[in-house]
Amino acid sequence: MNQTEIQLSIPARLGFEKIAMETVVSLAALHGLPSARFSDVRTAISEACINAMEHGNKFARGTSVEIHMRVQRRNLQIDILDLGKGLKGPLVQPDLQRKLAGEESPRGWGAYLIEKLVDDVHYFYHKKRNVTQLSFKLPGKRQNKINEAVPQV
Amino acid sequence: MQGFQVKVEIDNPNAVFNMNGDLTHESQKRMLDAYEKVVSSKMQNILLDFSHVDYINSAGMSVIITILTKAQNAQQALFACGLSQHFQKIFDMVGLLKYMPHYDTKDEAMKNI
Repeated sequence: MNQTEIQLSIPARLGFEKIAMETVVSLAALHGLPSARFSDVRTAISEACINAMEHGNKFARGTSVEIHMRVQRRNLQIDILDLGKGLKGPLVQPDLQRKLAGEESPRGWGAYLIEKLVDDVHYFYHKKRNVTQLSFKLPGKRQNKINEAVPQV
Repeated sequence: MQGFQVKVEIDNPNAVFNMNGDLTHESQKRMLDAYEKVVSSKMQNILLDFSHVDYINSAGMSVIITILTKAQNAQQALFACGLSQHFQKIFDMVGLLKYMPHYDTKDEAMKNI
C-alpha cells in the first residue's frame, strides 16, 4: 500500500457498508470533492458494497469485502473487492414497468444506480477477486479523462 | 444500522405511513404488515412520509416498488413527501416519481392529494 492509498476491510454483513461510505466521503472531502456530490458517493459506495457482500461473498460468515481508495491524476478511485468470479454476462438494465407488472423482481437497482452516480465504473476479475472500480473526478487544474480500468489492487 | 419503524395514521380517505430509520431490506416486513392493515381499511390514498428516513438503499427502494405494485392492484394511489433532494433524484432516476408524486412536506401533500 502506498502513502496515497487507504484500505478498509468490512465484514460481508449488511449495515457495514455504511462504514465504507462514510470513509470514502471523508477522503473525498479531504481532496476537495464538492459537498454536493457526497450523497452520490454515499449511494454508489453503499450499492457497490452491498452487491459485493451479496453476489460476490454470498454473505458468507467470516468473509470480508475490501475497499481500496486512492487519488490519482485528480480522480478518486475506489476498488471494491469481493470473492466473486467476475460478471457472467452484461448487466441487465432494470425496468420499472416490468417490475410493477410483476414480470421481474423489484430488486436489481444497485448497478444501475452506480452507473448513474459515478464518473466511471469498471468491473473486472483480478488476482482471484472480483473488482468493482468506481471513479469520481476531483476539481483541480489537472482535469483529465479517466483511463481504462487499471488493476492496482 | 438505525432500526426502522413505521406508524400508520388514518385520515380518511388517506393513510399516512410515518417512517423512521433506515429503509433497507430489513424494513420490508414492517412495511408490508403496515400495508396489509391499510388494505383492510380501504383507504383511497397512501402517503409515504420520508421526512425521518436518512438512508435508503436499493433494497429499500424495492420495498417501495412492492408497496406500489400492491397499491396499484388495489386501485389505491401512492404519494410521497419529505424525500431529501438526493433521494428525490434517485427515485426520479428509477422512474418511481412518475407513479408516486412527491410533495416537499406532509402538510403540502395532505392539502393536494
